[in-house]
Amino acid sequence: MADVALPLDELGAHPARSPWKLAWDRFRDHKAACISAVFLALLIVVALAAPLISRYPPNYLGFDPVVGPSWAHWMGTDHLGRDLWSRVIYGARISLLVGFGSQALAVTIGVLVGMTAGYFGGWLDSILMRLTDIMQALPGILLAMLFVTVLGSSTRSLILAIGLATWPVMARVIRSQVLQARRLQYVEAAAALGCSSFRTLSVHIFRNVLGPIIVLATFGIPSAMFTEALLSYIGLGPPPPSPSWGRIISDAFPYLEVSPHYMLFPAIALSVTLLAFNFLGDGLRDAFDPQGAD
Amino acid sequence: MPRGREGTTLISDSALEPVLAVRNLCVEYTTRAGSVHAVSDVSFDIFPHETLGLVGESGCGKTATCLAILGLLRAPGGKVTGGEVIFRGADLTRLTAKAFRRLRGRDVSMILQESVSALNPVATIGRQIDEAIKVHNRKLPRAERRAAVLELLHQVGIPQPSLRYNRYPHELSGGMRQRVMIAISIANRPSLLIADEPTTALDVTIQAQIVDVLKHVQRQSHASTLLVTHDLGLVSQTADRVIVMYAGSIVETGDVMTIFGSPRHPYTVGLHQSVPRLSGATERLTPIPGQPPSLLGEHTGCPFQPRCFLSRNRRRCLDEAPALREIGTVGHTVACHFAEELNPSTDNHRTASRDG
Amino acid sequence: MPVWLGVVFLAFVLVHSIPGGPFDTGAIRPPATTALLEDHYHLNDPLWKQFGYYLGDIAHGDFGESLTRRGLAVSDVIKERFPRSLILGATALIVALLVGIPAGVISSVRRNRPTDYTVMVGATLAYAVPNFVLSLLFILFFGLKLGWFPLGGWGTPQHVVLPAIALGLPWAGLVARLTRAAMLDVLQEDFMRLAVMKGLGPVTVVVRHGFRNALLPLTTVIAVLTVELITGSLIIEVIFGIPGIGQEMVTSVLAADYTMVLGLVIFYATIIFIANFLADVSYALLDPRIRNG
Repeated sequence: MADVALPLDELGAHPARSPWKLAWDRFRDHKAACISAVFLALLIVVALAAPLISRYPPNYLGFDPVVGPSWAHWMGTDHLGRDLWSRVIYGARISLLVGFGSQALAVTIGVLVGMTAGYFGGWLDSILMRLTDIMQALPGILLAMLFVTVLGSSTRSLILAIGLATWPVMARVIRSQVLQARRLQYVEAAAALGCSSFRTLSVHIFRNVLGPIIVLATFGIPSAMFTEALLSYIGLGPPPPSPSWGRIISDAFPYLEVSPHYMLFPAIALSVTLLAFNFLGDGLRDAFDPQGAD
Repeated sequence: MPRGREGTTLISDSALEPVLAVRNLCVEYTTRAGSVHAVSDVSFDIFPHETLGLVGESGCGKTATCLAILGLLRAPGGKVTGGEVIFRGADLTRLTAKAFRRLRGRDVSMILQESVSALNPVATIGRQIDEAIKVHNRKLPRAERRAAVLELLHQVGIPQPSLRYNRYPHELSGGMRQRVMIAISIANRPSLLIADEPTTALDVTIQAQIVDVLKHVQRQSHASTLLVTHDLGLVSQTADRVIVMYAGSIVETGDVMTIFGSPRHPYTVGLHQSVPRLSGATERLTPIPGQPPSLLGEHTGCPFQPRCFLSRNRRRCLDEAPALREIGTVGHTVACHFAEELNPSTDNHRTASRDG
Repeated sequence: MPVWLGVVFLAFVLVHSIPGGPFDTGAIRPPATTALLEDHYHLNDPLWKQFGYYLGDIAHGDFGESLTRRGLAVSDVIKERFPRSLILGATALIVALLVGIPAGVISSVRRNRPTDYTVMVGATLAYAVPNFVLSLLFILFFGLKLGWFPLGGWGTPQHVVLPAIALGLPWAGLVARLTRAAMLDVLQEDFMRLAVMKGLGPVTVVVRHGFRNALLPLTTVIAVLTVELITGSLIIEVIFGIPGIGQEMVTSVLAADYTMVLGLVIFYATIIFIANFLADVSYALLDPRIRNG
């Protein structure tokens, strides 16, 4: 029997929604992600406005050391007598700079490598993929550590080092998108009609790759911040008196029993920021790819 | 008297207790857009040893009905919101989980749709059939279970059962997998077998084989079968009685001869007319115009009205949803206000037989 | 194989790019001695030639000597320290799996209900809090305040507990989330319905049919995890003062002991390769569809 079935239009009453609107709606459903987005926006504002918000210069030595939180010093002071609140705010700058900067670099390199490998194929593809394999063979932290030793310890070299350590994963994603796009029938059709295949590919790839890349980068930022804090902790980060959160935590450890606030403030700041980025990443991923969502 | 297959007579009065009695069953799905009434006020009986065909297009509520009977609806996917399902005197809709587990696979079982994906990919087919037996026969020793599995494989027509025992589902063809599914469902000799689209996912040639397997199995086990399908040909070959569903409700019931010979609901008529036939004059297929209605929310009037050639937009069709009522021969019911206007010859036939 | 060589070469190049040669330790030496040393270590040869010498040495198992601690062979250090890192990593892996997998399974079965949300929030928290912060808090709380565990060092089972938990818990969070996702995918498959139809109890259905199939995608994660745990213990070893290869790596980098760093990096790379290979093998073992092609 010829199948007379036509799909039931259960949502027939609703107007059509563009993919972006759909993604936005799904994102809005994710409460944790929305709260995180707000928090991070605030954090960025605070970091940018650090000179205005901090009450004292972050490196000014002159207060009583290791004093608990008070009206004069919202977070207390550190072991050298510097205001902790100011240092933590400036530390946010470093963390955010490294986080965003390294991922921006990673995405750029990743896009270049991925597009080239996917579009041209052949031996170029093989070489680039070998290179990616090699870079991914070592643990990221190790790689970053090695790069930092070569490049020196400063915020800039940290951005460079972590960016260099993270681009491989972006490159892979982009390359696979390029390969998928090339096989698509409508790209072939467009080429048959005479459109430049590079243009069609780029447009299509861009549209498809934007989602995963945004998600990857959003998860990459807390990872980069974590690496930065870790390197700072062991002494490979921006040198003193730079108020990187990792360094503050490292300085604070000996005073943990006596004045826990010293370590707790930067630790909480770091943890909450990482958490926020992770939730944000969750929300974005569910928004762009509801297959994994509830 | 209603006629069954090959001219045998069916007795369908209360002398025989039905194996399954569904009364006013309602199933709803909750979606973002609201609740969808997948099954609305459906009632039917299945008698011992008979095959009841449940026919309708995709989305008419057939599968939901089957899942509801076995308690396999998954919230938030679906919920029984009204009615009863009486099996052997017990209302299945109120059954405890534990009691249901005893029932499933033993007294009532189901051949699932899409058998290609319904078998566990990481277990051998022998193990899977064995498991079906083991869960209801804990005391049976392993050797006897294995013998039973081999016997089942033989029954469903799988050659060299002992070799096939250790094969994985992906190593078998679609037809073989379907036979394994059938073996699993008859493993414990259920009194009610529900077959949900048993041939849909298969090639036409394999379909014929599976139909044979099903018939063979039915003859051997004397189980009642609820055969759910949109394939009219399959129904005409295997069913004794037929129920036609549309948009979640029953629109016509009757024995297979009547439903195929003298249908009384415009939808059933439309179904017959849209099936291509090999014999007879080549004519254009007449599909039923329009689309099935949305099952979202409440509706007034007959659900088939927008596509009905009989209705001609008469007031009664728009305002009042028709109830199932008897027409023509005993056991033939239809849900249409103007069913008399179709096939008036049957009415005469009844009058004639009464008179003479 | 070529990738492994590539890794070694990359490390080699990096180490040799570090500003200041290996002998710029500030020690006062007559120039003649410096020249002799440089000659002995082939430092005046082109880079690729030095690499050749190095490979030759490695083939004999000779990773050279530590630059800062004379007479200490790199291979000896690795031999002595690696087992400790291995124990730490293995324990952490057990923690991660034992906590993460059940959490993920339970969460997936109770999807969208309070249990699910609590577990998932807990998992995200565990994952997001940096492990070194966690370690420091553990030391403060369980070591100092409660005195249940030693504050660091190595030697007894108690020494392993805190670092293993600090190392494993974040990964437990990740494992829980991934298990939940894999389970959710599996739970809606048709064969799950079949299992229920047979009359099996809920636990059997979830574990034997559900989890067994969810295990497949999980294996990749577990492989990654194993690698991470063996190598990611750098900071934990430093904080807890555990004499493993992670601590050695950090000390060597900070002390500019290049031969040691190079040797350790190569060791890491090799371990990772072996782990990945084992992961591929186990994947084939678990999925009959791959086994039979």
